[in-house]
Amino acid sequence: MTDVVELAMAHVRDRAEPTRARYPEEQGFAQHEDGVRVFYEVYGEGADTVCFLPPWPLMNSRMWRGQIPYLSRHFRVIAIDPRGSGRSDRPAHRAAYSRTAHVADVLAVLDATATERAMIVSISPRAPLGLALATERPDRVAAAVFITPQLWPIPEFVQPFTAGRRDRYDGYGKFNPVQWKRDFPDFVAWFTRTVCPHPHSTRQIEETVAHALDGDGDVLANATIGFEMYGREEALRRARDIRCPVMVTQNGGQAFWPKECSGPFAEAAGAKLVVFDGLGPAVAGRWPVAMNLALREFFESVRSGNRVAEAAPA
Amino acid sequence: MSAELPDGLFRAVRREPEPARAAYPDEEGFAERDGVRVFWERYGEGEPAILLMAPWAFVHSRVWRAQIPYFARHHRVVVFDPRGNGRSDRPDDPAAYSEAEYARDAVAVMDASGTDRAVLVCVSRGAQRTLIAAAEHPERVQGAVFVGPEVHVDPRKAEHWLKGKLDQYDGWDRLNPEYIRADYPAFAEWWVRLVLPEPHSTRQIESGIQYALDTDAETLITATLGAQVQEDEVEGLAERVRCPVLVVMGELEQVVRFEPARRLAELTGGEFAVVPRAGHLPNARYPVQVNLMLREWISRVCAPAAAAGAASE
Repeated sequence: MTDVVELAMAHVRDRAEPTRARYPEEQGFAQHEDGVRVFYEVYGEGADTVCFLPPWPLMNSRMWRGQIPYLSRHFRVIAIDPRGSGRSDRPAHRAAYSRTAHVADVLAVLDATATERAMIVSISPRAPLGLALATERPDRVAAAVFITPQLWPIPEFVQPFTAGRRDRYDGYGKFNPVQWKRDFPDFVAWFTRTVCPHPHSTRQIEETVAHALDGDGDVLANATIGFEMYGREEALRRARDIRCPVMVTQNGGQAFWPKECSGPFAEAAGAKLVVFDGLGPAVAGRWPVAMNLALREFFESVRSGNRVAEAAPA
Repeated sequence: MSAELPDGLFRAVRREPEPARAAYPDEEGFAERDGVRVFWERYGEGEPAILLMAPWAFVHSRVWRAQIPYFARHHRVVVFDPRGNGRSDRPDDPAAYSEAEYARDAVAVMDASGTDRAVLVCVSRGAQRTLIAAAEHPERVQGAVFVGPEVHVDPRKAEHWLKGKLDQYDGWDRLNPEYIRADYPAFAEWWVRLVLPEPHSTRQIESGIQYALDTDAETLITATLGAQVQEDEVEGLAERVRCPVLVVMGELEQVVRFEPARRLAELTGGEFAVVPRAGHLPNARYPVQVNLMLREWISRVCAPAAAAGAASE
C-alpha cells in the first residue's frame, strides 16, 4: 500500500506553484518598525474587505485557496502570509513572533492596501490575533470570524508541548518543539495525517505537506512559543468587549485543535456559533463550499447591517 | 499516477445506496424498444436541450454527474443508462448491443422525454452511437460533442480481446473476456485507473469502480461484443452529419487514439480542443473547465436563436 502522505512528502519539495483559480489584483510587502517584511495579496474589489489573518506558520496564505476565488466575486479579499512562512520574512528569534508584532503586521497591511476597515478571519492558534485586533483596534475591524479558535492554553496541547526531550514522541506527543527541531518531517507527516484523515483528500494532503516543508522546526518553535495566547478569563473578558459582529465556527466531526474554546468564547462574544455537522477537521480546506457559504452569509449580513446603519438618521 | 490509492481498491468500494447528488431529476422513466427498457432522467428546462449519451456499458449515466447540475441550471438535460448497466435492461444477446441499437435508444429516449431536438454529448465509445444518431437524425440533433471518442472499432483492442486464455494477464492483456470473467473487480480497477491517470482523482476512481460493479462480467462481455462502427464507415457517416461538431481530447489520453479523433473533427468540419493535463475523462476530472468550454461552444454554435433561424430557412 502506497502511503499518500509519504508520496506527497517525496515530491512536493521543489514543485512549481500549482495554477490558481484566481490570481491577485495586487501583491506587496508591508512592514512596521521591526523591519520584518510581510507578504500580502489583494483579490477583487469593492467597499467591503475580507481579511484572512496570517495563520499559524506551519501554513501560509495559500491555505485559503478554497475561499479566495469564491469570496472575491462578492468582496475585496486580502490574504497575508504570516511572518515565518510563505513569502514573508522568517526572523530567527522568538521575540519577533509576539502577538503585538502580528497585530502591527495586519495594521501595516491594511494601511498598505488603503483598507480602512476589514472583516477579519482568524484560524485556530491565531485566534488571539483576531481577538486583539477586534478589541484593541475596533476602528479597523468591521466584523470578526474565529474558525476553531484556540485562545487559551489547553492541557492536551500544553502537556506535550512542554514535555521537553523524550525517549519517544507518539501521537500528540509529537506536538513538541524538541521533536520539531529533531525530526520536523516526522511531525509534518503526523500533523498531515491527523488533519487530513478523510478519503479523497490527496490534494489537501499535498498542499499541507508543501506548506509545512517550506518551513522548518526552528521557525515553527519560535513562532509558537513567541506568540502569546490569552488566559481563559482574559479572553472571555475581551470577548464581552467586542463591539462588532462575531461568528465562531466549529468542526462538527473530528478536530485537530480542541473544541473547548468555541462555546464559551462564542457565548461571551454574543457570537453566531456555526457547527459544521459531521465535517472536520480542516473544513475550509476539505469542505470549502460549506465554509464559503457560512462566511458569505455572515459577511453579507454585516454588509447589509452597515448599509442600514449608514442609512439611519444620525 | 494513481499511486495515491492502494491497489485492490475495488474490495473497499462500498456497494451501498448511492451518495447524495447535487441535483435530482425532475422526471424519470423508461423508453422501451423490442422489449428492452432503457432508463432515462430529465433535469431542468431551457434550450437547447442537452442529451448526455449513454457510455460503454462498463459505466452508466452517473459518469455525467459533474455536468448535470451545472447544465440543468440553463438547459433541459436528459441522460440515459446504457442497456447493460444502471437501471436499463441487460439483454443477453450481443445483437441487442450494437451501436445502431444504442443510437435508436437515444432517439427513443428523446421521444419518451418529450425532447424534440438536442445537443448530443458523449464520451469514449458513446462516440459511435452519437455519430450514427447525428447522421441518421439530422432534424433531431442540433450539435454533437465527442469527448475522448472511440470513433470506430480499434483493431489493437480487438487483438487483445481475442487472445484467449493466458497464463498471466499484464497491462493490456487484461482487456480480455477470459480475464474479465475470472476477476471482474480487478479488471474494473485496472481500467478505471487507466482512464483516470491524473493526480487527485481518488473520488473519480472510486466512483468509476462503483459504476463498473453496478453491472457484471457476463453483461459487459455481451455488451462489448455488440457491432461497432468500422473504420471505413466513418467517412460516410460523417458526411451525413449536418450539425456543428466539437471533439475534445485529454492531453494524457491513454485509451483512445488522437488520430481518429482529429479526423472526425476534420470530416465533420468540427472544432478540435485538447484539455491540458487531462486523461480519458476530462468531464469527470476537470468538470469546471469542460463545462465552461461546452457551454461557451453551445451558446456560440448551437444557440436557440441560431437554431430557430436555421430551421426557418
